[in-house]
Amino acid sequence: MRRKSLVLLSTLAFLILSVGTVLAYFSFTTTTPLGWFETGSTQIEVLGQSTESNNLAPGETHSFEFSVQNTGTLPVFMRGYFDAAWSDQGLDPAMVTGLSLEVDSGNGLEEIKAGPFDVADIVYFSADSTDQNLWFLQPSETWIVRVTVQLDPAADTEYMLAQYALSSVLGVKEIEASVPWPAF
Amino acid sequence: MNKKHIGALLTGSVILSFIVFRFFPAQSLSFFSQVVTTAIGTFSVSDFIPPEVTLELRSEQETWVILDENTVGGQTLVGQSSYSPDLPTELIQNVSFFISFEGAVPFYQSTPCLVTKVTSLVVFRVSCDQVTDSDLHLVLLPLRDLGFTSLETVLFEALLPEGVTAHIEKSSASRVYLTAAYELTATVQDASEISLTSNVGMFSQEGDTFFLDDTTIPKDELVSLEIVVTDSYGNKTVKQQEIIVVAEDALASVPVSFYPDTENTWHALIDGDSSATWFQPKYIVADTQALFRDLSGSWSDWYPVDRYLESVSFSTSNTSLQLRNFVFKSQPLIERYAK
Repeated sequence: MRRKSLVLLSTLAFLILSVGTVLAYFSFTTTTPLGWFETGSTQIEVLGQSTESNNLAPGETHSFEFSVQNTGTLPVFMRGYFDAAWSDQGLDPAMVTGLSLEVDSGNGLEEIKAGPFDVADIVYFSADSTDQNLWFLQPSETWIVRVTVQLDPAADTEYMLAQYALSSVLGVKEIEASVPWPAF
Repeated sequence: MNKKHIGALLTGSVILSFIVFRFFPAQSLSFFSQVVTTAIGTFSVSDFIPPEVTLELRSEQETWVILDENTVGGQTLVGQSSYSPDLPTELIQNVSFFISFEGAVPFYQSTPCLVTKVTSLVVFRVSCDQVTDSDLHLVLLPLRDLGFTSLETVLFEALLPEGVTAHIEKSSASRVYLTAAYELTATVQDASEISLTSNVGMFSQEGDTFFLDDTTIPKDELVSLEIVVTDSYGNKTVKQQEIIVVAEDALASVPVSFYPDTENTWHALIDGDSSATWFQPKYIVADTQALFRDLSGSWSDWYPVDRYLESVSFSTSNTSLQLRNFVFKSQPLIERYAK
């Protein structure tokens, strides 16, 4: 009887601890279920600007600008890419290439990546857009990000009047080296 | 539960936690990372195709597209010489010849200064009387009015006195002439609203087609027409076209005498008493089907004449004749009367 109680108790403890860990994957609560993590959270908020334009011709450029604010309690590293799509899915997103990626981290806009580049390439937020010497986005701090793209001069009539939409996909992680980047 | 059990419980928990963090680190550490996807903006591609503009010459019977290709060429003739221009098959119907004479004929010459033949048929002659002064004389010869085919050859034969040159300019599209029988139109294709402006004349719009009102354009002189078509996106197409708006000839009276020839034919004689001053070569046709025979004995359903400063005679099977401007076949110049 006592042995059964011990087995039941052990199972119960395991479930409690496991469920807590798994739930952490789906939430961003500020407490640590296991109690040995440093208390804190990594959360950002991205605000897109009003960047609609209706007059882009082949060869012309357009700049998208948005802000990223660290709304968590921990400084974070950041990386990301852009997800592009045409209103007509048959059109090629590669007909729009990146010309410049600039970040204002408090010192004015600094170009961290020069074009031409594929906007779908992963970019790290550092001086040279690599994963070396990453910049910290401190809690409550806001960065301005501007990406300038160009519609390929060879874009043909099938692109005429089509709409191009750009989304940012940003991943942040706590600056502790042992914390891996979140998967996209 | 004694201390031993509690120790076993803690040991088991540590082992299980190690397993979780060892084999599922990303999930366990994801608490300290985040991925955020945000739509940041859009743009639309403009209408970047300029309007497509086609210039045409329209009459009641036909429409000629003015091609962009410009095959200007030609030759200058002096003395007794000839010129047979190379006419591209696809362009022959659009080719016009602009013949200009320079110099002055120093003495009377009854032989025509220039004869134009298509295959072996003389289509018009230029009397040397036209070049007795030193003014520039311009003659238009548009092949499109003559119904030629690409299989026929055009030959210019000159017999020019010393000091006189005839320059023959071949033009497929660089210049067009406009008469009352023809309208210049611009047909525009574009996905958006368009507007059309021109440096001379006015255009009226009917659907996609704009019609040139040439009444305000100077007559009988070369005018450079520039048309600018702009769509609502600002795309522009500019068309430049040299045109000559030909003034309508005034009616003239030419005395024609008919003499019975053989059975059912007449010998017609146009003497040189006419005071008419014709700029363009003419031809004679009958109101009803008729045949004309020139001095060489060839019969045709029309008879070419030039300025009647010298007598012209021919045979005809009909005395109800019309003298028409050679360039504008559809325009009767003189209603002839039957004897």
